[in-house]
Amino acid sequence: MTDMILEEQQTFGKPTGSNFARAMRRLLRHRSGQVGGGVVLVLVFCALAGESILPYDPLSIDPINRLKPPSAEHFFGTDELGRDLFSRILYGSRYTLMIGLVSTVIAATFGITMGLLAGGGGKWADMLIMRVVDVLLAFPYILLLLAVVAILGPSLWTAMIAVGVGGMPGYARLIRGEVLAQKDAEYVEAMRALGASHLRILFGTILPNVLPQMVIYASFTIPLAILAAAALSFLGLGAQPPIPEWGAMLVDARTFLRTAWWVVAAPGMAIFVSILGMNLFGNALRDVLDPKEMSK
Amino acid sequence: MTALLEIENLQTHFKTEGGVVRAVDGVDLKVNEGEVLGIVGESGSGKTVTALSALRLVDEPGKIVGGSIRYDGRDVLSMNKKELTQLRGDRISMIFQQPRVCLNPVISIGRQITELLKQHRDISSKEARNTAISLLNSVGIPDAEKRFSAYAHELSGGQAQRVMIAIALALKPRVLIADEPTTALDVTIQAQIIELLRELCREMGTALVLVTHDLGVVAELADRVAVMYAGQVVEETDVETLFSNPQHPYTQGLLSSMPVLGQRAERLTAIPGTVPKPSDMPPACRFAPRCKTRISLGMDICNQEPPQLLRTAKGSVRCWAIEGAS
Amino acid sequence: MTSQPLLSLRGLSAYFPIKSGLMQKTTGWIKAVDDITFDVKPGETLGLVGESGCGKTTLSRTILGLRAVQSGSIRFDGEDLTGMSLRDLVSKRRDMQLIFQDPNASLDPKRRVGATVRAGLDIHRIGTVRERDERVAEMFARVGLDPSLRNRFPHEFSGGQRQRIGIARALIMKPRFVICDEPVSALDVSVQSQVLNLLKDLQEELNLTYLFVAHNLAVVEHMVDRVAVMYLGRIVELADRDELFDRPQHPYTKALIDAIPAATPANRRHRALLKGDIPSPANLPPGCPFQARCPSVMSKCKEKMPPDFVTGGNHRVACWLAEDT
Repeated sequence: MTDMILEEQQTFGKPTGSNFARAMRRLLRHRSGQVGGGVVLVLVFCALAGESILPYDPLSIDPINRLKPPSAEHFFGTDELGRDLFSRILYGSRYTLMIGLVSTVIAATFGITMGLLAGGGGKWADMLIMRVVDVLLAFPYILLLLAVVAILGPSLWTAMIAVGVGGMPGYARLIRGEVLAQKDAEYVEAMRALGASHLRILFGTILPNVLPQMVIYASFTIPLAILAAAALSFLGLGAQPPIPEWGAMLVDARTFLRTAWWVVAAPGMAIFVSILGMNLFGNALRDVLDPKEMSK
Repeated sequence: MTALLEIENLQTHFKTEGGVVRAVDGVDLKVNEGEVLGIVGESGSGKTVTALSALRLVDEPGKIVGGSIRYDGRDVLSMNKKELTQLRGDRISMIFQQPRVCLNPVISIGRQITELLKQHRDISSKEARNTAISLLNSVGIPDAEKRFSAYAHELSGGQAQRVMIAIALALKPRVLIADEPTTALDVTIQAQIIELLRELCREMGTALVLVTHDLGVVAELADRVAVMYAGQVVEETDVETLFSNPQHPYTQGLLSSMPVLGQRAERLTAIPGTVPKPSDMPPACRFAPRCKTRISLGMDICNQEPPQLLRTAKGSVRCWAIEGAS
Repeated sequence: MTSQPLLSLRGLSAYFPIKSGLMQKTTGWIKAVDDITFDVKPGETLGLVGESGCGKTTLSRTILGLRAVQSGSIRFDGEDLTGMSLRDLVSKRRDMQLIFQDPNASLDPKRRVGATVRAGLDIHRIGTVRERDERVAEMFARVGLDPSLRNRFPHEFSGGQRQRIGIARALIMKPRFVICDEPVSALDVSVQSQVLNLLKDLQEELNLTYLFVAHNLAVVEHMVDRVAVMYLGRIVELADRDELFDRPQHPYTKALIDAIPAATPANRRHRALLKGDIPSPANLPPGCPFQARCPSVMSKCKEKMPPDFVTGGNHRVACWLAEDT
């Protein structure tokens, strides 16, 4: 059959790889992806490198050298107890990153499950879950955090759980909307026609297809979570001294704002730069993961 | 007779991350006053990009990188913004496959027509309104006076396409470019729109460029036809010759693979393979990998050198088999 | 051929409620599928023709149990599916598969095509994982695709190749009955005939029974043994292919055939066009659903729904014009 011969002569290009690989390639070429990604990488490096890269012990007190301005010895200066601010900032990055990740994982895990069940679990599940979400959203955000801290007592872990709980409803809402949008897609109908169960469709087919949306959303909520946790620390309800968490550092520093600006500037700039970097990275992620981009 | 719209060696390329896609690669077309030119091709043939290029409507990352487009002797590619606005709508206008997407959802259909009239013509609001209503009437919108204030979402697909046609013809352009005007419509509605386009263009003396994948629509409407494949015109001739004596193997394949009413054959003739991806375009003749003629004649040149467009008695063809025969 | 039909519908209806107001009260019904009766014999292809909104998609989904049945019965292989428990239905569904219209939308973009084709075997736990993969490879070859392409993603394929994947996904279940829902209307002309030929070959090889849903009459004429014409949720005419195309009786069927563009410019003709658009299926007036567009409408048509008149052996028309013949 000539049909068959010709069919085989048909060239078929090299595999263009998974959607993930393509997105990564695109991310590396994205301008704000490069800048934001750079910031995030530095942050991750500092958090993972541990004490070995620190010029000084971040916790050791040196009263003679207290409130020294930035110099060649102390890049960011020292605080009121003579601790090296540069070391404290570097060391604090691990808490910042941990808070962002842990609280987001908590928010995403519960939020996504709630959203999936609300969107795909039938009328009653939807009703019930979404009313809970509505109630959570009706609380002023900071009040919600305070309530959780009041129940569990102030600590770093409490702050993370509180921020996680605060982030849940956002995920639930977003994913419910996505599930409702995907539910009638033809490829979902195709699974149903094959006899796939409800759970298989929900977790095996719909979830992978709404995941990019979740990654984009997470990239924007991580910095928000970090800010919220810093705020809790600032109120004395999060990380407790002497942990060099950036928000907690700001609390101690605020009394020296007029006399030793660097004590405030160091954690303030650290928060500012890392949040800016993460947001840039988030923007880049949104660009490369956009479904419209994926189909190209 | 000089052509009303003349496209020569048009090259429209798209920059993508996989490299440059030559969506339109050296296309020559001529549209004479009052005639209907059909541009037929499958997806990826470059037919729509060609049509958009004629009005310089190609968006980033696409760009016209070569060739010339002349309307009534004037160079379209060197026109400034103001001249271009005047050209679009006033002299050449366009309708699309998805009429509802192209209509503004928050402005009533009547106002969309009157705004256009007032922008290009020096007329009063009342005159504009009257003209708009008579236009809606002429495209067969029932109860035009009432429907004047309707919004796009209140129209059926067929009606939306009628309104698009009314808008496109409001300024009595000399060329109307229709990109798949009936593809999204049902069979009975498609027949109505074909009839409408035929009548209106004849009445107003408007030349029609009909971009479509449907040979049936071409058979119904066109005077001349250009067949496009992978960014190039492979055959161009008058419609009778195309259907009775197609020259290019691709045209022959297309015609024989079209199921025809009344022919109850057991199997259809198919063109094997698929349209090449722009990323791995065959080096010479772009149809060569799918071409039965090449195989039966055992021609090597098809894979070595790109064939040129060859003039024939009734048009032109881009094929080595024809070149060798003549 | 046995006389026992493989699929048999009796008075099948599927309605959608129209809800309005604050309390979402049901204020009316859209009769998407209304009182449909026909049989599909084993080994044959029954064409189901109609325009958008006529209910042909809802009908095919209802047969597969993907939409709720309002009334009537669906019998498959002698068993009534309408009263069946979900569990029995799921296993029954292996025998009935669906090929979708749009191969871009019907393949999961995040899943490798091999896994998509294997999905049915995974769901019903047929064979070991290795056996499943072997069957996928076999199926790929059978629909004309290189089995080594199994690890690619849908976006790497052309429209025609994707439709082959969709066909493989349906046929790997070894179904007896396949609903082809506009299987070629989203494809290019040159590829369309490849897929139609493939469907015909597979039917012969695997002894399949098709319900072939389409709007393109030329394609239907080529593919089917019998044709049912649907308009606004009802079957208006049903006959053997040659009978229907040579002697159409319902004014709507005549109009549909007449509306097909000419095959060559020599056949251009002035046609009797159907006036107006397809009305919304919500809250139709009493009587014949076609009355608003029918060129030969009578006063009777606006009062009473025409029943099915049988003219000649296998020719069924729901039109008052056929009453006297």
